[in-house]
Amino acid sequence: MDNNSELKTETEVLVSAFLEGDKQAFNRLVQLYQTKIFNLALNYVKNQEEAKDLAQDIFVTVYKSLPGLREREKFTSWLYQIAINHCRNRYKKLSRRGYFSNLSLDDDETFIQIVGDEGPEKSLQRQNTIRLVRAAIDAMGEAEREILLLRDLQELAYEEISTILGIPLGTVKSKLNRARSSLKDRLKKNYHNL
Amino acid sequence: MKCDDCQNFFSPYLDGEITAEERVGVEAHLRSCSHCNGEWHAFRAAVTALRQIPVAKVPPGFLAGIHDKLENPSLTIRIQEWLAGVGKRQVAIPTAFAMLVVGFVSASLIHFIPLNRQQETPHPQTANTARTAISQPAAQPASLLASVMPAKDHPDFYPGVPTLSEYEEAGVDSLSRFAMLPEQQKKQAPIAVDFVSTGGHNHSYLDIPLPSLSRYHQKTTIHPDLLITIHSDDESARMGLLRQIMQSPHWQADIYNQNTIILSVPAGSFDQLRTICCQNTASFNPAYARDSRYISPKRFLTVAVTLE
Repeated sequence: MDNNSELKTETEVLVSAFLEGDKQAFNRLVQLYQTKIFNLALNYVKNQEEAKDLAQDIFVTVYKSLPGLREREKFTSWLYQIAINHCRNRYKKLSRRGYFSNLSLDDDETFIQIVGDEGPEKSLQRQNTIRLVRAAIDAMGEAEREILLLRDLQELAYEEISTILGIPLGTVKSKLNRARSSLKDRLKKNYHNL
Repeated sequence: MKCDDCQNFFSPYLDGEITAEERVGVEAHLRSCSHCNGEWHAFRAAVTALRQIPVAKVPPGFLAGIHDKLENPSLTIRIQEWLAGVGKRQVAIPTAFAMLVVGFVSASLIHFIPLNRQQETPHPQTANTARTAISQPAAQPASLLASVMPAKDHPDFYPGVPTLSEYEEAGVDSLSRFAMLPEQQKKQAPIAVDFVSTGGHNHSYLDIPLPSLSRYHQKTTIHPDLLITIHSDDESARMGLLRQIMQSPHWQADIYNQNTIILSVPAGSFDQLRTICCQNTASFNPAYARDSRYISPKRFLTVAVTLE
């Protein structure tokens, strides 16, 4: 059984336990998904504190709405739907306030936490690559950026993305291909290794 | 397979979301087309670079923060929850609106009850006061006004308001904008006379050329909201004060008797009246009205200014 299957199985057990009154099961659900949801939030708001607050709000909504979930096996897609809605709303709210225009590009280090034992030169090169990729993603449209985050950073399956975004599977494939091609074209201009 | 078709398959080809037949077609094209082959390598490198973005660690206290938010929801969350529940309250909103309308109509009806009651039967207490007042000497207007200030056991719904109408019903047209009874009904309303000026007093302070002085020999009982008594021995100062008050465009003034003026003062203009009166030694009843922080709940105040 692979990691995804294990995660799915455990999630279903926990959701059932929570719905039967075991409130501790919710804490375990948070532990299972907090890193993914926090990173998703971070990719929208680009600030640790703001992302923490946003991700917590997402889980608060999940806690309150979970009793209304009809298909327990679709918890993950449902969780991401809530998360995406929260992220979009917070992103719009912050954009209206001019939050992102005040955010310096040099602040990237505040949320890129590179850990590892690679040498300083390689580490610098990797950081530079990440900075270029981030800049390319930020320059993309919301829909393109979203599908890239869901597929390549959140590692969600095509079917899950289809459910979360409410679009047909074929559209997911074509949109993802366009988004990745767009990323490639943007990086080509600045990244000689491509 | 054409170049465009091949490049449209890059993403599913990379993810393995492609049929065996499509895979063969893509691979064959990539072998034969150097341009597409170069694009494919760039495409794969871009996705690889994207996937290299490191995963950030969740800050400490994350779970505790969720429980804290669950136990103490912010105002924004409460509003969101309320808005989310609007659909469930679709029945409640029309009900609330209907209750609001009923409340408004009831309040309007109640507002007129004291006036109607007054029309049908003269208030016994008012009538008694009026009879007593007729026998009072003209030299004691201030004490008379004080004695008719609204009592705690006054049965009127809005103490002070009906008697203002009575004041108008006695023929004082200068306050007609406060009339709360139709003209026809006014004529039928009984006139309660509580004071008759005998005129000709040696120490009357109102023997100045005021146009309407002679018209008001009969007055009904009034219940002023405030009584301001001017204590000043300087006659010229008192005269000056009276002129200032009578000629001010900010309120409507009328003579009640030799020593007393009745004013209808918009609440917003009361500060000006207070300032004028405080130039002289003045006492206020109630005393707190002297305080500049005093704000009347009424839009218009009936103020009696009397010279001691």
